[in-house]
Amino acid sequence: MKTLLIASLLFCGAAFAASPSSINNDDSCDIKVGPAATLLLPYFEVDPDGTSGRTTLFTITNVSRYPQIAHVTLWTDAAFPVLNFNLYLTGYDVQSINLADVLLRDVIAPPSGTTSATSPGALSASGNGNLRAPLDCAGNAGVVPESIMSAVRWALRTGIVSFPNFSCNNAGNVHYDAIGYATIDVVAGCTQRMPSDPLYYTNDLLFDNVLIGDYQQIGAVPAGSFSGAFDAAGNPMVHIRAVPEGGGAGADVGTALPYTFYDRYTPASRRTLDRRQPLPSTFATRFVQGGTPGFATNLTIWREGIGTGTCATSLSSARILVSDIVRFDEHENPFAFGSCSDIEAVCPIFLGATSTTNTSGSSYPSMGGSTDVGGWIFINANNGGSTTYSVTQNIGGAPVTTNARTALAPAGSTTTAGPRPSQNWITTSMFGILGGNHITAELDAMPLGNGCSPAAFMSPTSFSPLGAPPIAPAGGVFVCPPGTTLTNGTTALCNGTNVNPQP
Amino acid sequence: MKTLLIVSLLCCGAAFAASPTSINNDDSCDIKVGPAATLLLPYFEVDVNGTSGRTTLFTITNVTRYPQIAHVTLWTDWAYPVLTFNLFLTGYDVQAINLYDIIVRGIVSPPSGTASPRRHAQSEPSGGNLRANVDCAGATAVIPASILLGMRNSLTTGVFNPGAGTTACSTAGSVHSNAIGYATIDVVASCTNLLPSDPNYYATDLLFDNVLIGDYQQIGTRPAGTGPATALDMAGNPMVHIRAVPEGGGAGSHVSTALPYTFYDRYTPATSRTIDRRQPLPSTFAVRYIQGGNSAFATNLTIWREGSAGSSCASYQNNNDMAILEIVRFDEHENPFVKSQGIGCTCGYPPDYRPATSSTSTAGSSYPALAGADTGGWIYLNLSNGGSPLYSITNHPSEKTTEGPATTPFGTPRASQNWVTATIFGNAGAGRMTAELDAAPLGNGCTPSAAISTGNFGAVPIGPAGGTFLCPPETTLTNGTTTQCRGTNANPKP
Repeated sequence: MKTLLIASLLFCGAAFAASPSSINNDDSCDIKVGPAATLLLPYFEVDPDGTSGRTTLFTITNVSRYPQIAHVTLWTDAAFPVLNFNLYLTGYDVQSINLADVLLRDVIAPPSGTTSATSPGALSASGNGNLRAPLDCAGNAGVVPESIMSAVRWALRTGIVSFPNFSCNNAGNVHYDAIGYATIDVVAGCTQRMPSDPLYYTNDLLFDNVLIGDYQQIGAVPAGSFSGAFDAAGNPMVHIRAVPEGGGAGADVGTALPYTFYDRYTPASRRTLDRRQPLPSTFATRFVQGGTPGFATNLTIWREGIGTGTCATSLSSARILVSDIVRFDEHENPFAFGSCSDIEAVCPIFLGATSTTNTSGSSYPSMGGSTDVGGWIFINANNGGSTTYSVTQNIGGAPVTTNARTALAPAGSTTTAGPRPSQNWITTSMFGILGGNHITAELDAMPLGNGCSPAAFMSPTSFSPLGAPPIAPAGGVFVCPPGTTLTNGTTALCNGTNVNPQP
Repeated sequence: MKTLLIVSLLCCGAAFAASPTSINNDDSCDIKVGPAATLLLPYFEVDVNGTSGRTTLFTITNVTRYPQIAHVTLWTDWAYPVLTFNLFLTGYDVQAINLYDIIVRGIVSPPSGTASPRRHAQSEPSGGNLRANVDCAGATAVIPASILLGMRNSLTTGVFNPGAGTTACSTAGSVHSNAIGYATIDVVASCTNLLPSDPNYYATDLLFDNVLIGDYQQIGTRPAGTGPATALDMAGNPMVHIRAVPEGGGAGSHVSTALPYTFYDRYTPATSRTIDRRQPLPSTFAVRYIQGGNSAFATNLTIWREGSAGSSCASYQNNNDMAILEIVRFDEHENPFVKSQGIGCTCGYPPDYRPATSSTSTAGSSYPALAGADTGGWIYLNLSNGGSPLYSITNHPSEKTTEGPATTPFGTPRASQNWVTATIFGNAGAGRMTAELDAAPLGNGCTPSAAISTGNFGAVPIGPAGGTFLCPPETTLTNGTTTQCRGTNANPKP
């Protein structure tokens, strides 16, 4: 998506377009599947009765020979953290977690959890200089008291937190199943701190890209319906790398990332301390719905919440603005919401910090008059920015943090003065029935830019102004390296650039 | 994975570790899911009798308002190109292709193909980066019967003989009852009939705009080596999105790239090997598996591999027997298992071989046997075939290229390219589950070739490319030391 910045960037673009690319490992804003320092499970759903079998499994693998500690945090769908636990992984260890075990049976990694007493494999190293000494993982919880887990379950179903020393009535949305998301970080000790605690970043967090992970949604069904068979869909988790990689716990190392995955939780004076890649805001995703095979598509959307994970701010994270949704059918007919006749219109759609919704539901523009059963959807999931987000500005060669508007700010936004777009991730689950058999496939939606791309256009009104940039990959098309033209010998359409601005 | 180069790179690592990161779009060797200039469907399989319903669907979306031409090529499992056709995509178009329609019915995009007239008002009518007189009005909708039969036979028997003056080849692929191969989809400037194996394709047709996204579904997939599935399972995944870096320019533009080598570089003109500017694919992967147990778990690994450009029909046989450097399986208790000792070892064990594309069960003989009671774990794959004199590599800064088994910082001459997906199966009551997902590359296509690991009595531990741990300048590990700071993420220039 081109932005209002295009004009000013174009001049620079010509100079930079063919500059040497980075060919190094882990040297990009792009999110790929590969060893990472944080894994995001963007959505989980567990039937609290266990009758439907609906649950989410995830598996973490340590692809290094050194032992690692994976710090798992469960968050509500309003981005309120309700539980954390540690998994001690020996070198080359793989650990599966069934969230029904955790939430219903109160057991983490049955039968007895994961502790540092585990014997390493033949190729595994016994020590890791990046873990804290003495190691405090011998007592890793295998069984969690039911009094705690019943409160966690209740929080994930009703948004009501009722812990012995803390309570909150708006920590999440209300639904029968336990719904939320999970983060898994590489850490130096078996800490009990939450990622919402700034001390977590100065004391615990590590920066080694060594974990990979995937998940399976068991009993996944089209949102709003009930399962006729026991379907399962699987996908990699979101692999978020530390850039640059490495250093000890709390190491304060400069990063060229303009902002980071956790930057609203980090210490105010060191916002990019986590060095985690930011996630993008614009996506393209396919859908199929209707027809004889009963096609249906769920879009599972994780969204960066607003605020710092407190009770007061969770209310805002339960209902977050979506900038723009445009659906195309198989004949390229665009559909926006009824009151928005323009393709670039901004419509008042709200979704929580994590959700799964059916593309045939009210969260998406309907395909009035079209007989097509498929197409694709453009989603600009940016919420318009928040003053709780931060961004690094390079002033006089020294990076400092700011909450003011920057070169990454949502163009045209007026409702908030956010410094940058909000972060998001989308996966697509497609369903169908052929001859009584169920088909299920889950795959990532395609980001149209990366987390360092400026915010895509967002109108201050319900209708975009004349000349609003069209839907396209970040930076727009066409990009013409210096000295080249398009095939027709002209450069008139060379309006694109892949250069992202410094804040 | 640390390599033999680590020692020499280490001194540079400290300097590079905290150098400015590239934050630009499409400025990386990493393969991500996002708009790209080439899509790779790493494996397809179609029941040519149609009785089992086994087929592969794929869908391409043009995420720009300008029309684009997607040039589809079907290759055998020995990397022999047997069919090419064009899909004219209007702006924001989406086009689904059922390969059963192509391979059995002989119809491209039924009912009438994708010609150029169709468009919606939101899309640009023409222009963009296409040739002025777009020649797509007659884009093939129906494949002539003789070509169809020749193409189908080549995908099932390896015998390619469509007649009509086309050069025949009796060793184009392996023999199997289903049609098996892989597909590439490129952005091009016109409805060309040239194959990507033709050097002229790069000089006249190929474009460099990262504008396509795509996914696929394997219908009727099942654990490899088993009979027809009792239920119709489906697995889906994004295609491999290969970007042009840097992006842009007209057809045949010769723009320098920092990529040391490229996805198509064995087919490009000898004097401009990296002219396609397509990101190279990696060679080392980590992938999960589950197999056995009460739920009848099973895992297929689908592996695409860079073949050699055939200098003759007979030479395509080499793409059936491409060696694999090593495979190490770990169970859930971190116990390692190896089958062969790798091609770099003289221990007396034969190396593993795999063709240009295949799908095999992790319970089969292609993988080290799993001893003990565990039903899962993960597998490390170093799929480099040891290099080929037909692969090339760019010498900087002259931009000249070298071929052959010359020693380079990437190996001799470099690692071969690969891609791996895992398909996981299981039963739960009367229901079934199927999940397909990409394996995790442990480096990117610009990473030097990984050496034999300690799993096969080599010297290098298995791990992320560049090794662990990395320590940015002026940092230590948590214990205050730097003795284990042996890793680097800096990849060498050729």
